[in-house]
This record gives sequence, structure tokens and C-alpha cells, in this order.
Amino acid sequence: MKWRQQLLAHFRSLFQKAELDSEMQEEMRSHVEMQTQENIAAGMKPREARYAALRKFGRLDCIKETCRDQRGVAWLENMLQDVFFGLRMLRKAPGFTAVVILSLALGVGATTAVYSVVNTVLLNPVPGPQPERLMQIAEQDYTQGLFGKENNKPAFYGVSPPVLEALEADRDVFSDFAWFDSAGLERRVGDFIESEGGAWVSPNFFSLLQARPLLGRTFSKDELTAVDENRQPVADSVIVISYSWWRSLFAGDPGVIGKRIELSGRRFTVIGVMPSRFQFPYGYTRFWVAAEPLKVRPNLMTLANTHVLVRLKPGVTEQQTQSMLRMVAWRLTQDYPTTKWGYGQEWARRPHGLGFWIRPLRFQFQGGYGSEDLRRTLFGLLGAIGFVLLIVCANIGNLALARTEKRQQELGIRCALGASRARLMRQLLTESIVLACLSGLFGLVIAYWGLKLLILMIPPSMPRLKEIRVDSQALGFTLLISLFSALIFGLAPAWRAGKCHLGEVLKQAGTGATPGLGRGWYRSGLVVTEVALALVLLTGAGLMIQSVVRLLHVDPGFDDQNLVYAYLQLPWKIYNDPRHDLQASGLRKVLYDQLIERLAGLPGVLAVSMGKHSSWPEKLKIEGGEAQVELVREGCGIGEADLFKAMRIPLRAGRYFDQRDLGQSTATAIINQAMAQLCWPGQSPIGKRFGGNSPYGACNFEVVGMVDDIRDQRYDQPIKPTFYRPCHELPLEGLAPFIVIRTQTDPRTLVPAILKELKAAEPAMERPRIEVVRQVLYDSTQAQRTYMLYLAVFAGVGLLLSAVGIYGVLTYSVARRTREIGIRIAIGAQRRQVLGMVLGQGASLVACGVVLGLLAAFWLTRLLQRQLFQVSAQDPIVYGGVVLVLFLVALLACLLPAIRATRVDPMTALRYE
Amino acid sequence: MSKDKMDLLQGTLDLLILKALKLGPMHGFGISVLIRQMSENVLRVEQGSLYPALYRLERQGWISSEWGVSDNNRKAKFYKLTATGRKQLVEETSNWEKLSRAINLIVRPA
Repeated sequence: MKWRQQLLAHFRSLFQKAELDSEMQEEMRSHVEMQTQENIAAGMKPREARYAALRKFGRLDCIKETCRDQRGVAWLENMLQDVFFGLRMLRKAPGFTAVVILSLALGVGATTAVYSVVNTVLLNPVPGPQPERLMQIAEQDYTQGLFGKENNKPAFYGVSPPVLEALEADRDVFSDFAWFDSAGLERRVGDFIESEGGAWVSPNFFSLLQARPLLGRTFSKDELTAVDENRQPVADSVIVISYSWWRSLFAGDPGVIGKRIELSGRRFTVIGVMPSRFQFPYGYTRFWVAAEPLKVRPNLMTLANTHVLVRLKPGVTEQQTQSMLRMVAWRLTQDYPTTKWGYGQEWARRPHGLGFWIRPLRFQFQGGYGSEDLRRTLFGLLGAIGFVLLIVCANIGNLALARTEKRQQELGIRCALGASRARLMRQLLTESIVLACLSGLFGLVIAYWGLKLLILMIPPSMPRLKEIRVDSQALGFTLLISLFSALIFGLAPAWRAGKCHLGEVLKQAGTGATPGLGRGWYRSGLVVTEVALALVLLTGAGLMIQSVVRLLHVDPGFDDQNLVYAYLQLPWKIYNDPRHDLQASGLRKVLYDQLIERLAGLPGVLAVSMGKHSSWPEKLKIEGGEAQVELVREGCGIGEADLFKAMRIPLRAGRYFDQRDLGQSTATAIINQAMAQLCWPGQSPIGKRFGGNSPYGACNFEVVGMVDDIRDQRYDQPIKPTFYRPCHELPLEGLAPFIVIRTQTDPRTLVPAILKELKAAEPAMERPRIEVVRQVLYDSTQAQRTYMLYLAVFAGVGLLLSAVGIYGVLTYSVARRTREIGIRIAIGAQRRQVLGMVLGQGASLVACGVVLGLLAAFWLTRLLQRQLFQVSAQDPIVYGGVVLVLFLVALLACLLPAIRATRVDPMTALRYE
Repeated sequence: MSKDKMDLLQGTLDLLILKALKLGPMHGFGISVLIRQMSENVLRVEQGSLYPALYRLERQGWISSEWGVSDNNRKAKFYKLTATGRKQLVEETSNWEKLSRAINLIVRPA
């Protein structure tokens, strides 16, 4: 009640000021009149009585002012007054206003855009209240079978079926409990079967993530699809599809609910479509199907892959959950003896037995492959755009200072009328804030558009729960940086205005004396800062450009012109049988030979071969040594279809494979140079032997040839020590085998023919993925190229702005020194000397900035090192080049004012006053 | 003047105004006259303090005002105590008693 009255009172004091004032006037008049009456009653003459009453009352206006202050809105009134005055002043200087708003809006907008992406992608990716209470649980596991230092790092995978079962039984401990696992179902596309990626989920998966469908509904509790041990559905069921599938398979049909889709031989009824922002657990998740917890026979590939999501109960801490999980682990370890082949044994293998990791879901968005790079890139961009914003502020600070000096007289008069220093400062700061807020508004528009460009940087495989947009947090951020920049560029002019000495103002009326030292220092300081910031930006961009140039000039180790890979997705039932591998490899050989023969017969095909990559190393021993080395076994074609000949990989020593190298008894290997250097440094590897126990069985190889290292996936792919064996010997596990086809002309034209031949040879194969090798290599640099582009644009803008800054300061300085220069010329200074003087002034500023900038760049670009390819963050060429560019641009910026200085006519200059 | 001011520290004036208004609605002039008379001509309230104090008290919701007609048929603004103002008066009075007792204890030791 009370606050409402107060609000009303405040409202009245603001908007019914005149009325309140007249009331007050009336009240005081009545007071005086009553006093007069009393005085008359006491025996005074009326006139005298009135004077006495007025005298007694005191200084009426002063009392009124004190009374007005009691209304408690004086500050607000003053502020509004300042705001309106500020707006009027800005309208009177449209040029200044436009320049400031435009540049600041760009700065603020770009910063907001980058911040929005950083915030929604990295910092706060989980929607809903209390996202920190949404946790993921996984078995404690460690990376293994990767390379060297990547081994035995803590790894966050998921949980195995017995754990899921145990947790499910204890689900009351959590306020919500859900799980998901990846699903692969087959879909017929034209002639081929394609494997589509989606997720098996528990029915409450969506509600736990607070995700609502765009159309239709999500799963109810009892809509569970029956799934067999091979993770294939065994009955018709219902499905929720992704936005991308809705668009591509159903052309965005709003009546899609209730339609059927056939996957893995079963018919699924579409019950819901998720919005485009919901891309979880992966960026390429196409569908979700609710299922019973998956029962899987224990085997190495599918041990702990089910992801568990829980929401902690209010008041329950992470520690409490941890100890509850320890109990579960202990119970399970008891239930699954280690002697039995299966989970118990797998848990016993781990350094600490069965245990659990628990972490907020947020980390799921940061841990994925490649997201580390994205993180660095985004934070790098945020830093860079922050620098641009600072340069913008420095420039505006300079402009605003110049404008304040033009307004010296106005401020002086205000000062003379009794405005306090604080009052003047407040007024000027308010003007700056008004300016910054206006720019912030325009900045939001720019942020909206900038965001659309930035989103292109985010790899489509990134999981997403939130829409990337300028949200309320970003709005707050915009407001904050707008005010912050207002403070930066507004403080100096305000300070300057506060320091008004009336005498000085009157003396300087018009123009005249050489500018005071203090202001000169301040302006120079701004320019030095700008140059330093621009140098850091330029260095970052320079290093990135250098890095990308190096990247694009990497020699892949083979001829990548007119070369395609066709990855084969073969039916495992026929071609991969761990129990009868000999039979399966025989079938593979027949198929591969047939494929090669068919493709070699196509017109325009120069060479055909086979290959297979591997990502898992085997630990083998070199003959005569004890230490294990991690080696990769890859597949190749031999004989007529030799991989090295088809790809034109140079043979460095020994020979190619031929028919002698086939068959059980022989065990020969061709190795790459990296392996030779690792195993037999400084010796010829030919005739050397290596072997041991590997997942492929016991082996002992003799080296018969050595070839160059190749990079066929990415220009910056690390070279692994590799040995080659005929392709059909390798089972299909891991990465798919591929056919290498070299063509006479652009291979793209041959793709339909290639697909047709492959299909004809094995009708059961999935649609092969065909990659043009050169294109793949070029595309692999996309992230770096985008990053480089943004850094270069930011650096360019920074450079331009600082050039404008230097130009502005020198022009101003020359204008203020017109008289001095006039005198110099009058007493005999040569034009050249004047030119040198002004240029020298500019050069000394730039030099200071360059020194500071180099120090900062040296320190800051270390953060860039991990994203640089074959370039040191301290690359002297880049640093030298950047300094040169900066000096050249600065020279141009100085030249105009310098030339203007030489044109000063001494007579005009002396009469200038 | 300085003597008066010394007596009328802020807060004390508030107390006096509230006390005066306890007798009934009154206009500013009346309050100043009343305070003078009640203090046997010792305390004189300056208009420069009285009106700001009235405005402040009104803003705090302790007194309210309305326009009325004075004894001699003049339009005048009358102030009166509100419910909260009454509570405030009780509080301020007890504060004042505490303070004056404390000062008496020091100034006139038994």
C-alpha cells in the first residue's frame, strides 16, 4: 500500500511538477499572510507587517528549492534533463553522432554476436532451470589403444547394461532419470540401403531435457519398441523424427504425424517432429525411438555405451550421489565375478575396478571431438572482437574529447553559473551513455545478422539443445558492454569538462595557444593504445594466414589430382565372420577383385585399387628389441591394382607387393617412412622383422618395401607409423575399406557409373560414400580458413580504425599549432623540415604503440599456438611483416596532416587569431 | 539563530512537528506558532527548516495534507498525522526520552 502511494507521489512529482509548485507557492503565500495578520494584530501597520512577515520567512526561492528536493526525485529529474539535453546536443552534431553510433554499433554488435555463440554453445548449452543439477553418469574408464600420450587418460563414455539395470532400480534416488544410446537403422534409398544414425532413448528422455516437439508429441511411458541383441527392432513401432528428416523425407509436410517410415524392415509411425534447435545427443541425430534398456552380449565394442542422464533431487549434493554410486559399484562387483568372461572381467581390468564419473550435462557439449578447437576459436574470436571494440572506444574517446574542447565555452558558462564539477561530469557522462545505448540498440540489429554468419562455423556434428540466438543473457551483455564502452570513451571528456578553469576558458576563447600538455598526453595515449591493439590483431591474423598458407601447400605424399575414394559398406553377415575369418577373407578377395575388374573397365579410369584405414594401433615388437611400438595396419591393393602405383606414392626402398605376398605362409609388409624412422632409425628397413600378438592374431612380418608417408584425410593429419597388408586380409571392423579410382578427367562425372558397377557386383551393399580426395583435403581446412577470415577482417577493421585515430590526432595537433608552424616557416624553416616534424610526431606515437603491441602480441599469441600449423607463434617473418604493414598504413595516415602543415601560409597563420 | 539551530537538529524537529500535529490537523504557520508557544518562546522554527521537514514527513507517509480554510477564512494547507505517523511519534518520543535521560545522567550526575 505504502509503496503504491510513494510511487504515485513520485509520479506526481515528475509529471505534475507545475501543479505541485503552484501548490507550494500558495501554501507559502498563505503562511506569509497569516504572519502579516498576526503582525497587524500585534499593532504594526499593514505594509510594515507584511515586510516583517516576509523578512521573517527568509529566502523564499531557496526554501522552495529545498522543499522540492524533499520530493526525492531530483536525481531522476536531473538525469532526464541530462538525457534530453544530451539528445539535443547529439542532434546538433549529426556527423559526430553518426560516426560514433555506426562504429560503436558495429563493435558492440559483433561482440554481442560472438558472445551469443560462446554462451549458447559453450557456457550455457543446457536449457531449463538449474542446468547444473542435470548430470551425466558414466563408468570410470580410461582411453586405451590410442597413440602414446593419448593412452590412459580419464574417459567419459557411458555405462554397460548391468549398470543401467542397477541404476534404473535405484532411480528414486534422483528426481528424474533417463538414458540414451546411439542407434543405426537401415533405410532404403533408391537402389541402396543406407544406415541412418539416431538414438535409442528412455520414454522420459525429452521431458528430462525439457524439450518440446515442434509437431505432435513425444513418447508416453508404455510406447517401448522391442529390440533384439543386435540392436535392431523386432516389431513395428512409433518414432520421433528430427527437423532435418522432416524437411528432407517429408518436405516439411505439416500433416506428417501418423505417416509411416520403414527402417530395418519395420514400419514406424511418426508421432512427433523435434524443432531444429534440438540436436541431441549428436548433431546428426535423425530420429529417436523409445526402447527397453538395451540388452547386449558383452563384446569389446559395446561395453559401456549407454549414456545416463539424471536430475539430482533438491538438496542432494554431488558427493552424496557419488557415495550412492560407490554402493552400486560395490554391489555390482559382488554380483559379477571376475572369473566369468564378461563385465566382471572388464571391470577388473580397469585400474580402479568399477567406479563412476558424474558431471553436469554441460560438459557433453565441450568434450566432443573437435569441440576443443571450436572452443579455442570462439574464445579467440571473442578476444579479437573485444580488441576491435576497445579500438573503437579509443577512437570515439578522441572524437568526444575534441568535441568537448569545442564546447569549452558552453561548459565554462555553466561553471560560472554555479554548476559543480560533479554536475558537469555527470552531464557529459550521461551524454556518452545516451550515445552508447543508442549504439547498443543498432548493435543488436548487427548482432542478429552477424550471428547468422557465425553459426556457419559450428560443425554440424555438435550437439545442441538451445537455439543459438541473441537471448536475454546476450541482451544483458550488450547493455553491459555498451555502458562499459561509454565509460571508457566518456570518462576522459567528462574529466576534462570537470576541470574547467574559467580564466583559461576565456583566454582560449576562439582558438590560439598550443594545446596544453595534459590533453596531448591523453590523446597520444589513446593512439598508442590503438596502435598496440591493432598490432596484436594483425599479428594474430598474420599467424593464422601464414598457417593456412602452409596448410594448403602441404605435400600430401601422393598425386591427389582426379582421385576418388568409394567407401564400401558391405553386409557383415557375409564378409565379416570372426569365427571363420579365412572363409570371409576369401569372399572379400573375390569381391574386391571383381569390383576392381569392373571399375577398371570403365572408360576414363586410369587405375583402380583398394585401401583400408585404421584408427587403432597394434602393440608389436621389433625383432631384437623388447619395447612395444604402436603400429597401424592398413590395407592395400596389390599386383595390377597396386595401391601405391594407383595413388602414385613413391616407393623409397624394396619392392611392391605381388602374388608372392598372398597366402597363409607368407608374412611380408610394406611400411611407411614414419615406421622406418621409429623402428630402425638410420638403417635400411628392408629385410627387418617385427611381430607379436595383436587383435588379428599372432604375426611375424618381414619388411619388403618402404613408401612415402601420405596425408589423404586432412592436410594436418598426424603421420602414424604404418605397415600395409593386402586389403582383403583385414576384417571389416573399424573404418570401412575403400576403392581408389584414378580418372583421366574430373572424377565427378564418373560417379553414377561407379555406383552402378558397385551395385551390380554386390547388390546387398549400402550406398557407398564417394569422396573426391582433393576436395576432402581442401574441406578439411575449412575451420582454419574461416577462423583466418574472421581474424583478418577484425584485424583489417582494427588497422583502419587506428589509422583514422592517428590521422585525427595529427590533424588536430596541426590545426592547433598552425600559428607555431607559421612562425617557424616565417623564420626560415624549410617545408621538408615541417613535414619531418609532423611525420616524426606521428612516427613516435606509432613506434610506442608498436613496442607495446609487440610485447602484448608475443604474450597473447601463445594462446593461438595450438591452432597454428607449422608456424611458431613467434614467427619472425609474420612479426616483421605486420610491423611493416602497420608502419606503412600509419605513414599514409600521417602524410595528409603533414602535407597540410607544409602548406601553412605564414601570413594567414599569424593573422589567424 | 545559531542557538535555535543547535536545538533543532534534524529528527528533533520531526518529533516536534509530529507532537504538534497530535493535537489535531494544522497548517504550517500554526505549527510554527504552536512550537514557539509550547516551548515558552525558546524554540523558534525557521520557515527554511519547517517546510522542507513537512514535505519530507509527508513523503515518508507519516503525515498527510489537504487544503482547507483557516480560522480567519484563508485557504491553507492542513497537515495531520497518519496511522504510521502516530507509531513513529511513539517511537521518536521514547527515543528522545532515552537520549535526554542519558544526557541528563552525564550533565547532572546524581
